[in-house]
Amino acid sequence: MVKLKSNDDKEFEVEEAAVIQSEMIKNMIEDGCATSVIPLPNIDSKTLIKVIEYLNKHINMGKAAETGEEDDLKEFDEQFVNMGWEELFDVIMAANYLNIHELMELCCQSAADRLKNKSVRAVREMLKITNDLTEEEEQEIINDAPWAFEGPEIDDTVN
Amino acid sequence: MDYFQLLPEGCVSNILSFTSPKDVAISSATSWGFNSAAESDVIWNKFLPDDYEDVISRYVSPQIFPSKKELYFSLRDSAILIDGGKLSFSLEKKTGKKCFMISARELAISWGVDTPWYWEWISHPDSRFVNHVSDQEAEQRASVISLVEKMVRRRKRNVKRPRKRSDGWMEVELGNFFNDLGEDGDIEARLMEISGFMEKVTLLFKELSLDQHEEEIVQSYNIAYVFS
Repeated sequence: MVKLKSNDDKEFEVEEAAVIQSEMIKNMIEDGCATSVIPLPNIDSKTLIKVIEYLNKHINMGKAAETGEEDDLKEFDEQFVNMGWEELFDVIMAANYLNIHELMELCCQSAADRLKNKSVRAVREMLKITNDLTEEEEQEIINDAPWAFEGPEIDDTVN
Repeated sequence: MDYFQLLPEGCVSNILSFTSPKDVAISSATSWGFNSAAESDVIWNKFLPDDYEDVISRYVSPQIFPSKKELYFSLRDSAILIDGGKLSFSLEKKTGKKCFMISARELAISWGVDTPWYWEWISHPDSRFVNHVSDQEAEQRASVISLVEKMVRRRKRNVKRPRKRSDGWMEVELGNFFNDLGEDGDIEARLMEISGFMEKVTLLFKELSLDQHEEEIVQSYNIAYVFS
């Protein structure tokens, strides 16, 4: 078992087979730097619980392919990313920091799917982006690729 | 709170690499942070075809692009000549899929060699290639070609009426094929007169084009002859 500590001082025990899906922790274990608790100063306990849930589920990925449980895993993944933007970004940052490639891909794909065909206004509103471009700068960007800003598929709704 | 401001730029680029060129352009107009993340090679490398390095290495006049984004738009905006000028390559404007064009010179044209009273080779100002073939007289038959592309199973044989393209040339779609059998093989496409021997004059033959389909993940292409 490997002990992980979140930035709000909560400790979690995770099986080594699960936790080594994180390249960062795998390297630490290989280098003998994971003798006691591994502190994760960038990750809060709420996010870490999500990440551990993912790691535990994906521990037997190779086995799932053999036993035909891929559908089950796919369903889990779909459910897993069913979260708000803020939570999704927390998991992306954690996956980035821990270097968990599959989790990163899953979450980035989910974020990308939500942005698909959205208008500038919809993207700003969904992500609560503060527009720090001047009107001229924005127009310049649009003039650079006018083809991207037109078309019946552009979706101005926020959801 | 601006969620995206919390994310490292690398993560934003990573997310954008799962979208499309259109979505990236739209995102880049939302804020400076997005605009800067949208320049990343991580994104444009993913939008370029998997084998783009191989294609670029066959470029007639090698060129260095400062970024993957510039390379992407350069290929999208104008075709490049490859393989000593026999083929041209570009990316489809909307989808970013691969388009190959085969010069008329590379096609096997009946009565196309040393018989100028049938076919004459001319240079056309529109052409990216050096020569077109023009049928001055008589019987126009044409072209068996072997493409060094990937292919095999012909899905449907659906020859359509020619349509006029925006550049004024006529294009006839010959059909499409689907490949799931690996990298090497030949495909043959023919265009010929089958209903009579009416004389046709000033028929210009420009090129043969191969366009990768939008929806297919596997190699799938449209074939079309372009003429006027």
